[in-house]
Amino acid sequence: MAQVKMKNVVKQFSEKLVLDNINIDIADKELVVFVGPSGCGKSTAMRCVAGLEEVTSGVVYIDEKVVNTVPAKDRDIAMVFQNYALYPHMNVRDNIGFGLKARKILVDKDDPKAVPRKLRHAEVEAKVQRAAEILKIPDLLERKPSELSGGQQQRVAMGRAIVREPKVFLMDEPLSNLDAKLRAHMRTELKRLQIELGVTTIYVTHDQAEAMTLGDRIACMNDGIFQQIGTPEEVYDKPVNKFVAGFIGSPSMNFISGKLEGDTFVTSAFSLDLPTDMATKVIKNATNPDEVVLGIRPEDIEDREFALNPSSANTVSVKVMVRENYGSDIFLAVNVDSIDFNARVNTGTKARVGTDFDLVFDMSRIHIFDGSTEENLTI
Amino acid sequence: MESDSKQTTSRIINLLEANKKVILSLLFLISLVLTLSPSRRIDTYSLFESAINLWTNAIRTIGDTYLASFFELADIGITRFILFFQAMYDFYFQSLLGLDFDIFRQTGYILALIYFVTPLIILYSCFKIFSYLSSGSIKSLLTPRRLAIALLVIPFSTDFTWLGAAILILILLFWLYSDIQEELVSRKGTTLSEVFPWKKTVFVLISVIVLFCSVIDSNYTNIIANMVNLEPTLIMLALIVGLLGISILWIIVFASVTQSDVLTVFKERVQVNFTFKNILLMFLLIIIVLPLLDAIVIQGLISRLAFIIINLPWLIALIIFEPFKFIDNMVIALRDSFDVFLDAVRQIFRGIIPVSPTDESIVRIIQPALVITLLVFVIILILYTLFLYVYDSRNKLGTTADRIVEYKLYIQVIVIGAILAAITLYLNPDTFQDLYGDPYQLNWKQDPILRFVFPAFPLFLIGIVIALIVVAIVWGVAQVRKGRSWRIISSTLLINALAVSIAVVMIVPFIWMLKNSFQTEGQNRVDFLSQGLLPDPFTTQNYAQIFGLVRTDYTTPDTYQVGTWLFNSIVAAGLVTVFLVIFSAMAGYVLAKREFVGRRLLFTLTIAIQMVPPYVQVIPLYLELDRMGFVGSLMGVVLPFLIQPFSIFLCTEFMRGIPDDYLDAARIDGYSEFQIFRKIVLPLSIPVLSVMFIINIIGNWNSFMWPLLLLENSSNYLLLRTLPIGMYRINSELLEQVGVVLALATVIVVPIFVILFLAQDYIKRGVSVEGLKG
Repeated sequence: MAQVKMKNVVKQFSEKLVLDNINIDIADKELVVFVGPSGCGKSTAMRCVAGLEEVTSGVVYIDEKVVNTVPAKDRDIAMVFQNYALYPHMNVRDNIGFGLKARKILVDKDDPKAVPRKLRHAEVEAKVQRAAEILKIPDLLERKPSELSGGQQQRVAMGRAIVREPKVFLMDEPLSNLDAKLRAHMRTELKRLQIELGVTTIYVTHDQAEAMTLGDRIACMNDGIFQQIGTPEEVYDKPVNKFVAGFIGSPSMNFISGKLEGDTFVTSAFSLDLPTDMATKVIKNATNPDEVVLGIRPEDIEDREFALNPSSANTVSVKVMVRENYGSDIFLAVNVDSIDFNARVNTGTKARVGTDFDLVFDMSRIHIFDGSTEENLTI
Repeated sequence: MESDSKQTTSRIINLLEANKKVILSLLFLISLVLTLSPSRRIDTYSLFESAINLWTNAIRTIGDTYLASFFELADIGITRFILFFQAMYDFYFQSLLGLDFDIFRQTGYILALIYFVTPLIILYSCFKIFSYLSSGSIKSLLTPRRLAIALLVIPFSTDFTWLGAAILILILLFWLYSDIQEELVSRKGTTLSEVFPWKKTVFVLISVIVLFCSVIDSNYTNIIANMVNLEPTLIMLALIVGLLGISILWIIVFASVTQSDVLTVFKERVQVNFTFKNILLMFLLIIIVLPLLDAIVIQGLISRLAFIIINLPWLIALIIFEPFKFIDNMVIALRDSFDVFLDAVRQIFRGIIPVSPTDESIVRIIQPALVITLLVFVIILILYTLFLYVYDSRNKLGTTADRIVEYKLYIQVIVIGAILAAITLYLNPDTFQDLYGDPYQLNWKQDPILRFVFPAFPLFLIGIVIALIVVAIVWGVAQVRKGRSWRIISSTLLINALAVSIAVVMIVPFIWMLKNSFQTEGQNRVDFLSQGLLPDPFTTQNYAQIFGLVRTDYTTPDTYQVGTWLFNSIVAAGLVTVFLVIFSAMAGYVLAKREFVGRRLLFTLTIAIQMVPPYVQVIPLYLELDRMGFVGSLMGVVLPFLIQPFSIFLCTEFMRGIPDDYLDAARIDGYSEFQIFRKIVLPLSIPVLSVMFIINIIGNWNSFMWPLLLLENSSNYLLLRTLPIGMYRINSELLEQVGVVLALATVIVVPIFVILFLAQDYIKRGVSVEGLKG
């Protein structure tokens, strides 16, 4: 249907720079998630695509066409809002059909001479009915939004977007008002729907789990800049910097500051041997080898008893502060001297709170970040 | 053959089924018209005719005075245009060729420069046109639209209006023709009836008529009228009807559609368009447009109008050059047309309450017509239902039970109509006279039933009070037995009793007003406490008097014009309130939701204006209105109150609470800013708007000072009084007539009561304005 492209887009609210020269190229039928902490500019970026905000400089393309000066109503996009924006004075049928009654569209696509016209009543009805069937809400059509549950409201909001058959879907944290279980369910539905309809979609969320599960690609954003744009695997396994590494993944990555002495990563409490090729790469790229940060995800730290290749070079003796049983695995908050980090270990672990304990780091999965630039030195 | 007729019947049935409510209303209207007595029908005709005449005259007056001035303006423009070129001619051929260079100083250097530049511009445009001509064909250059624009630029002096009109007619016809042609070519395989542009055709027809009439000057029209000995209006009507008929014939014959096609198209159209609203609109359109057409086309305005249309750019240019003259003209035209229109409507309104002093009683006027109407209505409806029933049973559509359910509406209406007819029949003047002896007076003691009921009324009231007390005590005891604290119960009861007694104290003046307005003068002289609880006898004489039904020896016909006053009050209060609400909502929306430079300042100013006490504004406002000529016109009462800072403030604050996402969503859905306002913001603001509406309608209904200041000074003040002023005058003239004054007071209060009663839900909602949730 349509590609979306943002080229050198800058957005400034009086003095505040919200979007700082962002570039992204979204392919047809792709679902790209803008993810980032609140206030990072992800919603603003989406509103720039929607035409609800004017860009200060730069170019926004939809379908190869520059849309900077095109008003929102003519961009042929549909948007789902965080609070759904269902009009309380209309019933579900009217809410879904609302967007169809506004503009003239090219209805008779087979007829080359046909001019755009407004949809007739029956045509609107048919489209609403079909959208309702896709979303499994045909029995709710006569109700008012206030008589619907959160999940149903969400479906209606989706219905309002899909009934228009737009070029681009924009979704601004559409699931954040739902409870956890429903959110997971709707997430799946949403993905299914997007694949079914094949509409280019931009999805904004602050929830990295949503981003990971939904996105064809993830655009991780901070301080008005896309820190990294890539597939979920790329963003998870090869984060370009400390921010992306810390933001993606739950529980988040452990960061341990230290310095490099040859192949060895040294902290005040313990030292770890890096694989040789990784160490050379790090030393080559680092601005200052004495100031680096080691990053490792909790799931890459294992109880010595269950670790694959325990050795003195990758084992750290720690004191267990907190032990949380998640059923599938056990979460440990541990402490060595003044260094705190978390580990996710096998349920068979014998670790008890207050006792000393040995943990093994999976050295192939660690990341070393530059202390000053915070860039990932290991990729 | 048989199936054909059956199909036709079923089509008609479908048509009739299309809108039951419309049919019901139409049936009732038909039966109402059928049963009007000949004399009253003639009255209605003459009333209608006089109203239309008034309207026509009004338009003609406006046309004569103000269109004439536009006419002058256009004439001046053309004269100046021609003079300009004459002067240019002189400049070149007399002065410059004569080597008289002093001419620069004489004409002024700027004008001289313009003289130099103008030929260059003309040459350049000629060059452009020629280069275009050489590249493209002439036919593509001369589209009707371009021709029309070119025509508008050519100035036609008064003598040559007919030429311009004739060319315009040709262009219009050409436009329509090429349009249809283009449609037919672009959409192959469609019949003419499908592509036929209805609205354009009507527009072209009307324009052609208008222009045609301007070609034949009004003198010529009169000559024709003399020749065929017909009224001009009739010629006009015949022309319109004839054209309509011709167009219908033309469609049927030339569009090569079969009769059934026409029927189906017609049925579809009817199903879509045959709503009550549309019918009402059409009715209004006929009432307004016909006289308008008549006034414009026949009464001689047309040649001027055509002149103005043909020379529109020149007029616009002059408006730009002399804006103040134009604004002056517009203001006066606006005021006068408002007054004239209002006067016409006022006459009609006075006719709507058609009680003349010669009629013996209201009952005698209404009763026979109403009975017959109801009976005819019921009979027609029974026949209609029977027809449907027979048709359905013959075609075996559904069981009898189904059909009864389907016809429930009709059966209900039939039963209600029959009951109403019976009641009205019973209440004929003779019965009334027999029962009460006087058309306006109901003497309880003479009524066969009420004679026994009436003395029991005080007992009944006391019984209610005692019953209330007993219920309260029983409820209290029961609650205490249930285990609730007797302290709480007794204090609840006491608080409620206190509230009820305060309410009674508040209501007593109203009851007094109502009761005394139904009493005779003799009864009203007695001390209030010794009057008894019910008026005895119960009389409507006071109301009859204020509506001018009864003549008394101490009043002139001008004393009571309650109908007029009521009309004036409705106009003043209604116009102010409706526009105030609309304007406030618009202003509130802009101040709350739109970003622009100076918004905060504007909002602050709006709040600041509220600090100025209204009485400070009286003198400056009066002077301003006087200068604009609005003193002595209802518009003066309306105009200053259309914008009110408090309402704007209220709206702004409410609309701030509407989430921006609603507006953004609509924007993305493709709605324009005004549509968003109308479809989203207005419905969501109903709570606050209804409160504003009610507050303002009460305030303006009761407003006294401005009408007194502005209206009482004019020459026709008797026609301009609003109800509160009328009340004030009557009060000072008839001090002895307490009953009459109170009857008028009741008439003033009742509309407000009705509005409050109807709107109480909205008031409650508005007062406890809920937050909006997503």
